Amino acid sequence: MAETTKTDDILLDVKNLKKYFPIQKGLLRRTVGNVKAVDDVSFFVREGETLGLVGESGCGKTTAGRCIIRLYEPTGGQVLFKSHQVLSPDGTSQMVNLIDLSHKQMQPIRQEISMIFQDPINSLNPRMTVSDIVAEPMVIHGKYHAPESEEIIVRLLERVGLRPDHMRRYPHEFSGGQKQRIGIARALSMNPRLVICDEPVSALDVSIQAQTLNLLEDLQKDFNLSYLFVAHDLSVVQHISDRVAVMYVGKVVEMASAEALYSSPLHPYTEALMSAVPKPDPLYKSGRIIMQGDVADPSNPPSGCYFHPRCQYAIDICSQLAPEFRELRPDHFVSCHRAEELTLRGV
Amino acid sequence: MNDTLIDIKDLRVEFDVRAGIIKAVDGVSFDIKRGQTMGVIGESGCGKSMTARAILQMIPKPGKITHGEVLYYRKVKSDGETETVDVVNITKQHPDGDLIRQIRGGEIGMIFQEPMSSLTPVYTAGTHINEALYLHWLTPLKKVGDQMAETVQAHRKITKQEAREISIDMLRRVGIPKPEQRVDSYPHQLSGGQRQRVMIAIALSCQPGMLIADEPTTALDVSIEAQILDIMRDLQKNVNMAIMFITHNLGVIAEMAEEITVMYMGKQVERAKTVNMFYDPKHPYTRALLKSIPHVGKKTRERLAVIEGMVPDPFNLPIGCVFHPRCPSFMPGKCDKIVPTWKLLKDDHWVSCLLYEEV
Repeated sequence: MAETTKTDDILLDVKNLKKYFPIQKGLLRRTVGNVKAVDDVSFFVREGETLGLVGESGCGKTTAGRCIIRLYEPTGGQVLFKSHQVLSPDGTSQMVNLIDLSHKQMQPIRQEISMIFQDPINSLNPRMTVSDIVAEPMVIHGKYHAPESEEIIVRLLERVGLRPDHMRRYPHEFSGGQKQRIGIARALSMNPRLVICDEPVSALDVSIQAQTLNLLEDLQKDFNLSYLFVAHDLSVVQHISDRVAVMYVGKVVEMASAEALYSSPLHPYTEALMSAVPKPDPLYKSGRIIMQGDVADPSNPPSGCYFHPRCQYAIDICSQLAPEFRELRPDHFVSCHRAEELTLRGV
Repeated sequence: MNDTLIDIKDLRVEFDVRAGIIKAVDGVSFDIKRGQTMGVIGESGCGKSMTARAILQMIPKPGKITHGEVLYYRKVKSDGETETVDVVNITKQHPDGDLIRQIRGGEIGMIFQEPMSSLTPVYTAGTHINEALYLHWLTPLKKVGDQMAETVQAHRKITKQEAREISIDMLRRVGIPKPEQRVDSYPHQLSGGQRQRVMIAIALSCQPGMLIADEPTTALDVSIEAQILDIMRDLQKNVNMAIMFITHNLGVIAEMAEEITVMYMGKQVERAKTVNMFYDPKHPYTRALLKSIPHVGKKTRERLAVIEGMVPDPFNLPIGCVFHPRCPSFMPGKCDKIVPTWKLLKDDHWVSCLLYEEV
């Protein structure tokens, strides 16, 4: 490692995060194994930036996002967050490990980290009006004061592109794109610093998807937000992210700036994944790498590098030894035995 | 020889519901040739799935076809001659007659978007495929050497053993590993990609002349999507099958289709060869759609171009061109008064827009 990466502006630092779901069997519900949904995952998010987290379904990207705000209790590891709510004795902000906190201690931090969900229909309570939905975080955190808060809600709704007269309506009266805007307004109502976006546009039509992506980018500038953007669509992730982490079967296999990752990937999985994306250009010569077989089973992963059964560059060591996640180039992390020698194709 | 397989003429499908009438498909006309892939793109609710279902007469109630015809040039097996069948007409006379049942699934196969909910959880993969074979009383997929036996077997029911062998062979052809074992697996024991392969195997088991693929890869991951698209292309080449490929993914359509129809609010707005559609789009909606998607590999810090506004209320469609409230090239006094006609611009490039009409 010639240069080390700048670390002083890191907002969220996830270290060796693990989440195992036990598989129970028999009358006594004995644990017979674990689904290693997230297995030793490390990544960080700097202030004001967007980290894209991509991977195929079942790779643990959603679970990793949920572990950060402890919607799931992690099995191990650290989630360090630079909180403004929990200050060090000398009054400056410090990195707190969210996993060590009790639920009561965690509560104020939930104002700083909010979440936008994938399914705009099921993530809004059908029996609450829009203003109730957006106000709920304020009520929970005891910050709701009638006239001022109403105004804040009106301003927020206008900011996300809804009209003030939408306040008294119910979620079913809105289209999918509008529902997602309500979800975004709710996520912003406590002035968070980090927003975990879990597939926020994958349920939307292309024209609405573009509107929502632009809105998220504008809001990031206006409110100085940091995003952890979890998605499976590589082109969307490339568009919105400053840096991108690629996950495969519970592990981050590569993390770099969006530019470096897409133009010169270091991990064969990243290369194959990018080549598999159908390009909206009929004259594009597809040099597609077709990965054989299915994604590995996280309850029974292969030995060594999890990707080796599908990897066209695999050699003997790949099936024996798990590669280390290391910083090969400045700010470009990869876990592959052959990363130095391989020259992989980007897009 | 006429190589047109399906010719849809001014098709209209309406849903008569309490709040009014929804025109789900409003005057769609196109033809599909043998061995060709026709792509149909559009956003959700634009009527692309309903057009496909109309071909097989599978419109859910209370929807019905109110106008138009779906001509199907049916190959009469024995002498290679074609006979013309209006699918709309035959179901009017016999809604569940032998002929439509023979066409549906037998001569025109269909793959649906959701591989989980389109398979019965209590049947094995093999049973699913056998069902299609029994229903159509066929002994399909003869190897060249078996051609002679075909005349003998063509008109009798196949045996269980034959059906099982064909099922295993089909599973092998769609790339399922260990098909001898997988034929006895239930849908929940298969992964999403494998389920979709089983769907394809069912649809292709009777050697249809045409396959309707309604968002076949939307629920799948990119690596599995790549495999499925590859299989579909290979199988198409082998059996000279026409495909109607419905999707909202412009990347997939660019790769699969030879010709594309773009739909918006039940109407077709543009039709062209794939290359022309991507490099020389004529309709403002197509242009906006192409600009609004992020391209992988083309990193720009620019904002995405958006189509302003929302899809209009289907009960209260705009007067004139349905796209005019969102259109960047809106011409006041024209677009909000006159309905554009379906016009041929140049070789096989059709568009429905007042920019190309003199009014």
